[in-house]
Amino acid sequence: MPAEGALLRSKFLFTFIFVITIAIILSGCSNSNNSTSAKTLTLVAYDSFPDKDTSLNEALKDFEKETGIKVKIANAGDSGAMLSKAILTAGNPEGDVIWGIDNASIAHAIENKIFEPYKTKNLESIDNALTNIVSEDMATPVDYGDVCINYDIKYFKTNEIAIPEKLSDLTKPEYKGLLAVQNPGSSSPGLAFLLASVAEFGDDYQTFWKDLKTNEVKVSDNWNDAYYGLFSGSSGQGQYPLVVSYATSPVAEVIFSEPPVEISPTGNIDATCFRQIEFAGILRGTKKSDDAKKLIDFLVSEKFQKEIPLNLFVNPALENIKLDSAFTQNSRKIENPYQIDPEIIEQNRKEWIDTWTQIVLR
Amino acid sequence: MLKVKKVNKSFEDNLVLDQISFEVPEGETLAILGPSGCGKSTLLKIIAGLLVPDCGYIEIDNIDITKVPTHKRNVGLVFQDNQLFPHLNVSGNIEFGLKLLGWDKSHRKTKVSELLDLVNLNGFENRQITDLSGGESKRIALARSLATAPKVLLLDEPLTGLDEHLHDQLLVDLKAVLFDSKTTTVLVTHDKSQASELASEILTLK
Amino acid sequence: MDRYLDANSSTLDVEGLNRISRKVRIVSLFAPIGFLTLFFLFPIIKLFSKVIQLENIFSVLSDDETFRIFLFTFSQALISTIASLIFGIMPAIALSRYEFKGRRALSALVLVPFMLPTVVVASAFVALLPKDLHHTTFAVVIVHVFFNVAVVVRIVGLALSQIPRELEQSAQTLGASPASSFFHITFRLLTPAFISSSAIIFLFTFTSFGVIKIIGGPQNSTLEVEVARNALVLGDISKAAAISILQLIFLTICITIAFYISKKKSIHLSSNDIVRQPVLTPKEKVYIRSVTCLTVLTIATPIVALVTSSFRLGNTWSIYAWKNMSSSQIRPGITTGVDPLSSIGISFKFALLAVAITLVIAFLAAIAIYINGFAGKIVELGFALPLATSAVTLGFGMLITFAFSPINWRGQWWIIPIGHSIIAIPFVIRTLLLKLRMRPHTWVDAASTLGASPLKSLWSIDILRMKRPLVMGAAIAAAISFGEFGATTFLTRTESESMPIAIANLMGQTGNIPRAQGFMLASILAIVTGTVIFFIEVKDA
Repeated sequence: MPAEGALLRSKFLFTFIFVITIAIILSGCSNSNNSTSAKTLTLVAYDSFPDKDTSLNEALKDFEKETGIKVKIANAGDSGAMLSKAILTAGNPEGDVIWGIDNASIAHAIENKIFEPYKTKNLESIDNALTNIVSEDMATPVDYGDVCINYDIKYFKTNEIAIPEKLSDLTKPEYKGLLAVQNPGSSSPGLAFLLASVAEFGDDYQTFWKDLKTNEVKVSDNWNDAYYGLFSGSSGQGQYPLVVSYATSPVAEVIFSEPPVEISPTGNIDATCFRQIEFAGILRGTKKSDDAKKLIDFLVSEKFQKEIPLNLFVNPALENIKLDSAFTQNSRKIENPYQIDPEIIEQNRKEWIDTWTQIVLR
Repeated sequence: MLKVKKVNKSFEDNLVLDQISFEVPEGETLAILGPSGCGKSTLLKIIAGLLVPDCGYIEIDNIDITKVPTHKRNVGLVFQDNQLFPHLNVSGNIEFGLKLLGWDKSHRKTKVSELLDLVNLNGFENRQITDLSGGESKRIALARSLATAPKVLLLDEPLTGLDEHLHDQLLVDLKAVLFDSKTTTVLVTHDKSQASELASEILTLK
Repeated sequence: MDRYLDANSSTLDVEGLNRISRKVRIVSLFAPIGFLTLFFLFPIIKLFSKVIQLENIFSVLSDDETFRIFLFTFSQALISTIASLIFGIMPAIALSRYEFKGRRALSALVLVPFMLPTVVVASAFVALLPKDLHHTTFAVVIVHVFFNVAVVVRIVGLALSQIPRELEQSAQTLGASPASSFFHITFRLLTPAFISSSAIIFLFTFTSFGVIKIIGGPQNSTLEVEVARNALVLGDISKAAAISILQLIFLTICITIAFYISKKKSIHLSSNDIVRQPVLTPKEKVYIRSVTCLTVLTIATPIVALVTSSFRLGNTWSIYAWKNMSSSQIRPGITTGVDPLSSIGISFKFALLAVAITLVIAFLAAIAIYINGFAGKIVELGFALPLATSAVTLGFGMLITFAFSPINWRGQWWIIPIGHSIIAIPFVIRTLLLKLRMRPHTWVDAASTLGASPLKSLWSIDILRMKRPLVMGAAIAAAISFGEFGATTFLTRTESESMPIAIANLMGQTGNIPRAQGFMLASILAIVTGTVIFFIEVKDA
């Protein structure tokens, strides 16, 4: 039988929960009112784009000092989620500027009309190799990197096997069971590597993958699994001395290691690289076009671009940026990487992935 | 007949039953009387085989059954709160033991209606357990226990928790049932008049 | 006095209905329905109507590949469910029937896996399982069982703790052996709890995402993974939505059947918990010991592996990650961009709000389901739908729905915990309903005769009786909020990186430091949740 005290207590409990809920909701509302003041821009970016505490964010604060425009970073998931969301909300976007759509999907983005046209006034200083990829007044190239086969230096040394030099080497019997790749249907570096094979072999890419399958290529679903679960050169304990990763992975192995190491335990095979170029653009439907234009200009200014390498582990789009020695020491500039026109990628991507899936996974 | 010899039981250093011995002759009823917490229910559970005595032994028809598991003893037990199976209806409860004995359907049906007759609940076969009153539940529990014709019937506070009118009526009926079925019975109660009404012999526990 | 509720119905009788004030009925019915409509139905309907084309649904239906994926999804969910039941029943019996040293600790430990982010647990298993088992259905089932044993232990355990032992003993006096009395009586009485927990586990494993991505490997894909793949990698949102709506329809049918059976089999038992028995016989001792050892071993191994990994930097031991938990800086000018400590704070903020919302809405909804007939059934089904909906669909739906004033909320941080509570509410409702349906309405009678108004008596008595399931519900909501990855990643966030996202970001970076920090965060998550549950258990006594 309930005592009067218990009755009061239960009432109290409920009131308490109710008040907390309301309080939290109200505090949420009031917060937001402050942050959406006229002079704030929202920069939509993928999750690995840091939202505070890095020199990249410091640079954005300089932008605020110069122009009075505060930049708020909205992390929208991985690059795939970010793009899908931008397409869904085209015309009524979540932010004002978007960062980081790559050349494998930029045509898809443009086709879905997510951008408001703008040609940055810093276009001249951007690396010529990057500017003619898509119509310049749609999206601005902001950085580039390469997806390459990484190898475990120690493995090849101790086993006295020659390091493969090009894509076609990978199907040779001496590299049987040594390569781990990602599923292009679920992973961005995996797709880049498939594109590299298409760029190299054309329609014969199917033969290449059939041969790779015979050569016991290991497929993982995402980069994480491949690099840490399968690759023997990383801090993980995998068994595959060859893996699809980024050209800058060896740099990161040095920088993010404790105790510090001088030389990376891994290296790149230059002739296997596919170039990934990332773009930024103004989101169609923003009510702050003029401010957004200023931000685009700033994103390709020297002040911001020089912070890119050690924060995002890609190369700045701007020419003549002096790279930090920590960055240059373990990575060479990749000459003549594979590239495919974004329009062609857009038209064939689904078919390539489906074909790949049939060959390799079934 | 039932024989209980020098049974001891303690729970964690607390001696509940101390050297209990008694006999119940064939077809007779023994009432065990005592205040609550004196170990009456424990004694019934030991006879039923649900608890193991620390020492001493139990005999039925001169056979030591102390180590025989409950389901092979053929001892009926009606719990104080009946413990009818809530997922079965009245006849499902009563025929539970018969099914285990492998009786066929028509025999079971006859036996169930016979037992319902005995406890004055004709036509209750398809009632749900949840629809029964306290007195009705007790009668069904009794019928269920008698179904397998146990050698010994154990009743734990059979008339507790019923209002006065039901109490008196059930007392009369219970007496008749025990007499008719000629089952050796041990019942536990804290009510002296009930004990003397139902039993031929009374054992008082302290 | 032992009048129970009508055995085949969850509603009060007419007399009872009239006594409960209209106000309670209206509030309890419309608050949850309003919440569900605004934050779930509206968004997904909006998304479906925007992107779905009929031809897409037909093409998905006739697609061999999708059918193959469906078969895998279905069979792995079925096997996982059965395996979870089998492995869960042992600890459930031990924990709800016996009192023994270390019971509370064990009881808390069993819940811990449920609280851990799938991403983390799956990674731990990748490290533990032999390489031959990677990417097999067997591995998927193992990890699913690891997660879902908690569901069985809690739901079946709760039911078990209300089945008096004397029922089995009665059966034994009627000639049933201990095994057969367990099977004929206890097992039968557990049917509703089995169905309830199976339904939850089936939904959980059918819509499994993280585990499949990491353990299942590229060959094995569930519909949920396929939805995400189409929407996020292939950019085919229309096909994603088509698969999502078919999954929703299929699972809705499954849930409806489960509810129907569960209600038909629902049996009302005494509302009082039985007293746990001390372990007496040698057989019982062996049983309890082996269950304890086995449970501790299976649950502790991956958690120990997690903690160990946080002390590993490459091939050496180091406390670096723990020493630098509040800093994202690695060397001057170089940071990981992820602040581990602040992500813990953010996760707690999310969890607090998610728990508050979940408890209020789930409690009202459970009452509504309990006291209303047909309308209650609608609420019950409605709140089961989020479990059948893929996270991408919900996230995208919210994104396009809360995009216009006056509900332009998509940039607000609190929309994330609301997303969490949408996922948590169905679980909590089930926990509350199990207890509510065991409640004879004599409780209300008793309070009324003491002079309390029907309104007061319902609130006061129910809340007191519901304390344990409510605490349990809070734990579930907190767990889901802490570990939720899917829907959260599909909602855009500003400076609000929760623990699972921070962990994923750290583990997605190259180098041994971010990885150790990721494992450190995961260890903290495991230890904190374990401790919280442990104290709830202790206080519960």
